[in-house]
Amino acid sequence: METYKERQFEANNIAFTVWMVFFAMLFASLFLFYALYRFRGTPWPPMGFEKVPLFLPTLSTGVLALSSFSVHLLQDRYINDIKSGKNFYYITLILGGVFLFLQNALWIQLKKDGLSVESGIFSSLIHAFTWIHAAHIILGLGFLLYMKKFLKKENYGKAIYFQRVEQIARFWHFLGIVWLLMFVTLFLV
Amino acid sequence: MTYIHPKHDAPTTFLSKYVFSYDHKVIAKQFLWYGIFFLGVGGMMALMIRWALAYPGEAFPILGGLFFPETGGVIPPDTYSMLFTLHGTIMIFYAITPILIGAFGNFLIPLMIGARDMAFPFFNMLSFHLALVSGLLLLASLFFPLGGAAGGWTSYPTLSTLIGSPGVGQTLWCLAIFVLGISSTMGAVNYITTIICFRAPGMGYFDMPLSVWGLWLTAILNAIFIPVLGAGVLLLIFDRVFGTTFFLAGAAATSGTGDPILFQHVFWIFGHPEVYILILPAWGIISDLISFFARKPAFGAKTTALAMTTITVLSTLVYGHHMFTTQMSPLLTQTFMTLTMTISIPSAVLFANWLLTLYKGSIRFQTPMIFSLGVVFVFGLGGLTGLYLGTVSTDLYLHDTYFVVGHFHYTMAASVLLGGFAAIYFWFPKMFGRMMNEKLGHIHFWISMLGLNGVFMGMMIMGHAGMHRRLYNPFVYEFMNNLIPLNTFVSYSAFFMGAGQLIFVYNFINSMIRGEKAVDNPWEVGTLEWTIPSPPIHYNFEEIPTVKCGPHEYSNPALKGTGRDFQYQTEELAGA
Amino acid sequence: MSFFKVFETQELITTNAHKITGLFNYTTIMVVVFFILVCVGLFGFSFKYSEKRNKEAEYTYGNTKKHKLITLIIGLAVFFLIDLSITGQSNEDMINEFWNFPKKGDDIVRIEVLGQQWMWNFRYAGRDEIFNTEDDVLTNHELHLPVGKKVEFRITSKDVIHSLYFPNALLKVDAMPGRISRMWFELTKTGSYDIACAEMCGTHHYKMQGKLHVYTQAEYDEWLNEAQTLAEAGNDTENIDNYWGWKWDNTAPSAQVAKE
Repeated sequence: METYKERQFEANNIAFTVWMVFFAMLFASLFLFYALYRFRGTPWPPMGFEKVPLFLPTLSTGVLALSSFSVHLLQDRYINDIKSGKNFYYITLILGGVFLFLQNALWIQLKKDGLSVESGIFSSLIHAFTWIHAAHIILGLGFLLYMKKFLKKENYGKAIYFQRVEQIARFWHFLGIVWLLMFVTLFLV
Repeated sequence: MTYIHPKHDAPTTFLSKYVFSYDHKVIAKQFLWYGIFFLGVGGMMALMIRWALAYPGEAFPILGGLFFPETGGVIPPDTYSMLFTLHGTIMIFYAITPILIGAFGNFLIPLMIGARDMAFPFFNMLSFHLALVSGLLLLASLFFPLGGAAGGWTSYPTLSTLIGSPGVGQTLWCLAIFVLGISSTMGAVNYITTIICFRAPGMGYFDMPLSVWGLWLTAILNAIFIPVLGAGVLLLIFDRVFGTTFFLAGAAATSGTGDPILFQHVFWIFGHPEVYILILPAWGIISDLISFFARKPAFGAKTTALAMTTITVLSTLVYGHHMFTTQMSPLLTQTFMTLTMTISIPSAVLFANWLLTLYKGSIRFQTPMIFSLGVVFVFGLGGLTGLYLGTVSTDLYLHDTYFVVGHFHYTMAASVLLGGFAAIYFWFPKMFGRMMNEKLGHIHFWISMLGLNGVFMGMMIMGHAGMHRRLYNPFVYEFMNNLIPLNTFVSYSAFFMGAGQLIFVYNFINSMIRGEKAVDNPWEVGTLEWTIPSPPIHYNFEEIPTVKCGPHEYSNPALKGTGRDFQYQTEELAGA
Repeated sequence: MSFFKVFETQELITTNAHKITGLFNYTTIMVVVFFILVCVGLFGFSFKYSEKRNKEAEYTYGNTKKHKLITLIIGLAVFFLIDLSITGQSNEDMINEFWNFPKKGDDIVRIEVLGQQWMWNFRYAGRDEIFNTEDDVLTNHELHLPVGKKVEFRITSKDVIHSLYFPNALLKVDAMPGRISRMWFELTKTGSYDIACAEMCGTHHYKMQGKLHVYTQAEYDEWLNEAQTLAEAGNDTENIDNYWGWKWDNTAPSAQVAKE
């Protein structure tokens, strides 16, 4: 590690890792809460409640998976083919927006099915998890919007900007993985 | 290509120099003022608590009539609950954290490792301003009709849910803590990254001063465990604001109950590392200062660093000892007890190393040194009293008594505070270019030591006698009536100690304005910050130093020709 | 006399409270010895090696094999001599005494306790020996117990977390909403003693007092007889609030989560 630029580059990587540990611990704590509530010997879902219909959650999972794929393609083409890469940038943004729309639809449906926020621990968990995850998706969309300036012709290709694109993409993938875990543990099984 | 950390231009406007500064040294001072302010607020709250315990039913002097006109100046019971809640919260999060971690972390890390600034100056600035927002949120909570949070700094549900704490105060408390968590994490990311990436050429990890080790380990624990508290506090906010039932049980939960004890688990999974977060910087700092003032290399410096690292790791495994009275399963209880005991080993190593550094030293007793020696004394008491609380059977008696209060105040209020003062007296010349008054410093030390020992030893005695915690008026109980004189004694010690701090404030401000001008290296110490002027130029180092030796090079016989008994870290010694 | 009284615990009135004070005192001996060693080092070295008395410090890093061995020995000595001995003793005391709950079928006094803001409620099973029925003896603030017989408490809370604390038994256990915790002891002295709440529970936490009245077996039987008669005659059987009790489950291990 000789030049300042190289050190700053390395610093960005380490800082990113620390932030990822931070976010991972946040969601891990939520999963810990969930595990302790679910496995304390009482039936799940609790008496009087049914599992949430899988349509909206599955669709959301699909949308988020596609958005991870598109952001991956953006990252892939950043260096050599920024023109088509840019298309995938917009697709990712749109898919992110669609995900939030689907989440809102899910919340409306939950309320209609009798699972309002105040309906007890089962509903509390689903709402808290999805709210917190959605808040981080909004944060991710914010990062994506910030990324726009790295796609400008005069900026793309510089190593330090590629690092930013890469890190934002990784954060987006992280949120996708968290959602997948949520999908499997909260909705599927 | 050689490593050149860019020399950024000096800021010119008032706002960019003093308010929105990116300079780690300015941000450090901002945290210092902020922390000292809250230390005063928290301290005043403590004195009000001690007044209520020494003179139950009597009006609090001067301020009482102002704050509590309806009761004629007497502190009412619900305000008393707010006082001890906010005293704890403020001292931990708004006094110690900003002073030891915010101020000294920011000031020392780049200087001691030979960098021009932190890795992410923008986030550094943001971290202070978020802390400011958090502080404002907390203070704001006092002005609402039902007042501030009043469920203890531990904020256990269901007392901290709407059942026990109606109103906005507790919600604002949760929000303030949440915002502060984000601020601390930004700081932690900065510290970890800067230490890993921006050490000057030649500075290996074990060439770093132990102060930096303490700050580094603290930052690592912060980054990992703050989100756990964040999750707990966020779910509590949801319970209060949106009607979720995470922590509601018993008669309150109408369908599908939550579990209040889960909050305790999550709180202490953060809470136990938190107490080590608070003390690690102080340990690192005094390990260095004892070596500096004994003019002798820190005995077993590498082992000290490794012992601090071991404690960091072990601290994550022991949180259950805060919850023995909740009746977890016997196996879990036994596990926590045994793991808690293992922390004695690295702690004993720390003591061995401190004392053996003094052995055959040539000790100078200036203010920073006597405060550091004071830490060894009070942390010895504090740490040892933890043993009683670690064994389950004795804990069943001592839990939630003043014994616990005495224990944690010895380890935090005494050790960390004295360590913080040691740091302030030591680095004041580097920060402000002037010396603090030695005589006043010594007086401040002795008053603080006598005061603190009176207060906290007194508390352990009354705890052992059975007096439990968080009581507005303990003397409604017959069994505690004989403890009234002891409580009065403790309160007098507290007032005495509080008065002593005024000497510090006077010394601090007076020295800043009129203190004797400091030379570059008034303490004759070799770490990198003493190779540059006091105070440093805004980009710290004219040239990035190359490190030639460790931070504790004192009394090396090869120094004979230089006329000094210490080696600068940038110095190459002939015949070394 | 009264100056030194502050160094004592309250009068001990149970069969096993002395185990706690015994371990406490043993730990104190270890702690004092170790702390004296630290002070000898701290004050002794500060005095002997002050700059005035010792002009030249020894130049050593403290990292030779010998030094590392000394440090290791100190660390391990502390662990094996102090930590393990107190842990072992505490563990033994927990297993033999405090976790050694009365067995099913033992002749004991059974009490259900409900903590609430800001009062302790106690329930005795009444002549039918079944809890939560119309003839239960209900008291608040006042607890009446005999000497010489084991008493088992099952405790919960109505609202926030409280902690049932007997200063003279040196015991406390948390009363948690949604959970039932347990405690037992056997009393050895008659008299009246304080009961307190040891977990912050709101504004009047400090006033959440109870009184424990300990009687000889004969006096207790007399009191119980009278109380049961009064309960059978006078309990307001329509008042739902009186039925805060629950079935006493003899197979329950430690803390159980209350069924909804």
